[in-house]
Amino acid sequence: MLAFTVRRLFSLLVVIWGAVTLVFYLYYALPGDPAEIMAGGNNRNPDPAVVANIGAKYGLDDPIIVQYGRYMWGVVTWDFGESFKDGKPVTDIIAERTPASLRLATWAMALEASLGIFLGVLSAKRKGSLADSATTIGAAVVSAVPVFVLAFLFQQVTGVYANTHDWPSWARLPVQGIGPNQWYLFVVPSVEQFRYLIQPAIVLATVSTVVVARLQRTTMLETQKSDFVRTARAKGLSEGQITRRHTLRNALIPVVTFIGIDFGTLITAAILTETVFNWPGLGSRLVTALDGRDLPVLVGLTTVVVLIYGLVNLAVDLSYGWLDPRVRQSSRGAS
Amino acid sequence: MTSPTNAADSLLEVAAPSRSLRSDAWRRFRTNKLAMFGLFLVVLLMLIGIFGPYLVQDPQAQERLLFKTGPDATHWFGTDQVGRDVFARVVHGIRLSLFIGFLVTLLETTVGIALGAIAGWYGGWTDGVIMRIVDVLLALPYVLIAFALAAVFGYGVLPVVVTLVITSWLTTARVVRAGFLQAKVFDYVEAARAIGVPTRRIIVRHMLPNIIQPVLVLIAVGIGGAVLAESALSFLGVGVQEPTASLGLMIARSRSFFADAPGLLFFPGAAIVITVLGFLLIGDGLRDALDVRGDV
Amino acid sequence: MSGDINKDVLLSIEDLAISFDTEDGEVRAVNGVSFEVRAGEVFAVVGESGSGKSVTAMSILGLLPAPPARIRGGRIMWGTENLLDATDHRMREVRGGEIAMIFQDPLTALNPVHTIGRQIGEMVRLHRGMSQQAAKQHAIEMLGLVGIPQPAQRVDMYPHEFSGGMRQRAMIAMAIACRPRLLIADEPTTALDVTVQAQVLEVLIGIKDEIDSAIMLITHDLGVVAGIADRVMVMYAGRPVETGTVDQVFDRSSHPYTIGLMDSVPAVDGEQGELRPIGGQPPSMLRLPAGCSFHPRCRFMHLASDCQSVVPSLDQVEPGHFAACHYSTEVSLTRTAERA
Repeated sequence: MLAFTVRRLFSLLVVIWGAVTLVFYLYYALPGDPAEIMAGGNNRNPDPAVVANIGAKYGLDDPIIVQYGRYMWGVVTWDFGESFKDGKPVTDIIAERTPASLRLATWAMALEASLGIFLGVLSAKRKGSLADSATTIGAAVVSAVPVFVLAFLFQQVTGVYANTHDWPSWARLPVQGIGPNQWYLFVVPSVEQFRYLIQPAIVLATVSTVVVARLQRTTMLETQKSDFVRTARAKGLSEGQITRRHTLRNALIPVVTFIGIDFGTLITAAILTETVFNWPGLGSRLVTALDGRDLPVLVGLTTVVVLIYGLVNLAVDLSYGWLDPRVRQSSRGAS
Repeated sequence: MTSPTNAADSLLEVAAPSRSLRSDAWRRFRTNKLAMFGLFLVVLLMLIGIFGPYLVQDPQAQERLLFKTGPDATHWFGTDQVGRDVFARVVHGIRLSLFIGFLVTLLETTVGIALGAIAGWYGGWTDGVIMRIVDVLLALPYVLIAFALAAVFGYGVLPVVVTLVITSWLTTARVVRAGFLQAKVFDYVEAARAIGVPTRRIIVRHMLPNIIQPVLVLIAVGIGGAVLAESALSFLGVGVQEPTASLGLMIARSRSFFADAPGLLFFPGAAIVITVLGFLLIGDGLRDALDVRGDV
Repeated sequence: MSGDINKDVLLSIEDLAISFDTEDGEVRAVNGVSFEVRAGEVFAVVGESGSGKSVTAMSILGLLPAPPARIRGGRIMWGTENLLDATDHRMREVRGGEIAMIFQDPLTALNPVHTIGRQIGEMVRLHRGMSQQAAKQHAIEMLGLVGIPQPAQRVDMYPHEFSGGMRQRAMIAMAIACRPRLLIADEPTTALDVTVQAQVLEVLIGIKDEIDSAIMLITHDLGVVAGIADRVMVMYAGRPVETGTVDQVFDRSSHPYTIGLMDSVPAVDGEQGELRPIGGQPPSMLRLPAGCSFHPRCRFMHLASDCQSVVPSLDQVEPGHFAACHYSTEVSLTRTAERA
């Protein structure tokens, strides 16, 4: 298991380095003057003097390799400079915004995994029933709705409509923001906090819950046909025992892997969700930086996102190794 | 007469997966009501997208004093906040979405099959490099790539298409690679290599049929995904810009007017949902119809 | 079976008939099979793929998926109870606890994510209520019984870490964990190398004596039958065509199919006559030939006889030896003459 972990860690470092370099390339090395971009804001014709100033201030006139070196050094020493807009150190912004995103993402993934797996197992069990077909259709429809539309509709119903039509207080949810920001053990919200959390978390989770459920259904049905399930039955186990100990345990493997792979999709969905709900996380701040063309913030936050993505992937890889003993030994380089 | 390669190849043909799979699959697809409904939706939308813009009003024409009116005889979906006909804008938006969806999917599938096949067939170092590139690209949210490219190319369709192609070929490549890795060790493929059948022929005749099934599903789902992604990019402001009619853009602008004119959100929103739903249902139908292994 | 009064008959199959309802029609996989398995013996069931031997074996433990499989008739007597009438609860007691089964491919038949020890232990925890610790000890003991070296280490390993032969031994260890009275082995050696096959067969024989159980061995390999079986039943197209002791059936074959089988297997000891494959193809189970199912391929078939119209019943050739052929005496004599 140890050798496996080390190999995975190394792989992860390579990928993170590659992604971080790509971020640098996209923003600083592509044709198009970063200084102009920042100076321009919403104005297409920035004042050349301002552009020159910015160029000097951020060292954008230096040879690209020097800039790259400076950038990588900044990543390693955790220094991303200051926001173009208000001079605030980017690392401060990161520290401020990351917890909210992590909490939201954790809850969304927990919902996605638990609900998705549960629904998947259930629909496999009731294969062919009306409930099964209904969930398939429902699933397809939900997948077709853009996240930002879903988010907005949720807001309207439980926030605005509930208020104007006098719904009971438990059904009325805050429309946006994070509220009291009260958490225990980092991820457990207070009751009041939960009311602010639940909507964005559900919206964010729907994106993938459907896919997880369908995948789980498929793997359950396939695994049920395996030889070892037949063996388990021949041993005298009850159907329930067979499902839990043998079928599910094996069927989970591809599903857990998928949840990990899907984290990337979750990030993009989070950017949209945070924006609609005004949830003060990395995602919404990223969009603000996009609008304001605040390159240092953009680059800094993107790097953090990449790092988080890398770590989540590592966690998933390791759990995959724990779930499937066959993977631990052989030297698998490429995934 | 027949060269040894031809003779061997025709022997292998017997052992290779049957091509009559196609007619079987079509029959299964045809009897799947949901899948046929999806097909109906897509055909309908394509007709709207292709011919619609010629039949509707000018989507940019702003009628003074007719802001945010509800649906009526002249404006079937009403007018938006600057007096433009919503119906016309939705129709143009559908055309844009479908255009981007098809173009992106066409390009990414080509790139994905090519690179996935190379990675799967040659393995080793080539495979490693390609897969690392895939991993790196997967780590970046496409929104940021779109913004960066827009800064270079200017906002519009081009950065959107390029971004989506760059980020979509990854899944296709992975699937194709997996299919090649699997098929490479099939007996008939090893036999073909041993006999000396040229690589290109093996790949075309014996390996590609293996991946057609999952790739077709990916294409259907991919078009739907591209439509969603384009709308997300426009929503965030890094896609196509005003005054072009994009469904995502329309939704973004409509948020502040929702209380007065909910239609400004619902009509473009419904258009997106119906479009994506159609492709998803087709994708599901293809998956079921092409599944050789059984009744999952 | 009528005739012998055998107090140690463990399992008695009477007139079992099983069909599968498929898209293409009814597949009559098993058509009137009757046999007994007695305490302490090795009873082999031989036949080609599609002869119905595996289906018969699986039906004993109720492992056939209920649609599309359908039991058309017959009884499966385990002692005095008919397993076909047993409740789900009773069947779960029987499976593993009284009758155990081992399967052909040990790699796919064992769960890849649980250790061997856990899978063996599962048996005794389920049927004997043992604690986790005790079950693990028992598992180590079982691994030792089947000849796996260093069982205390191996018990915590996963199936993919064992070699093919070891895996099959482990599966045997799992099957015998609760000392079943009957062990059904479905093609236990088919997936193994020849050298390993002999070892696994030895283990089976040793185990049988050690835990005092009977073995019902399903196979298509006559060599395996010759090696360890006491009695054998030859099946064709879902029916038994010849049964008896191994000596009787092999040396004094009285059914054309059996003879065909004997003639198509090379002799290892060098006394090789001409190899004679059985002409023709096995019949489609959707449309069996009328009369004797074997008649289209039978080299002894007499035209204008009942071979084509009347299904032959299992008739006695000598005490304990039965053959389902209208002309079994003739066939047997011709055979002896040919081999002289």
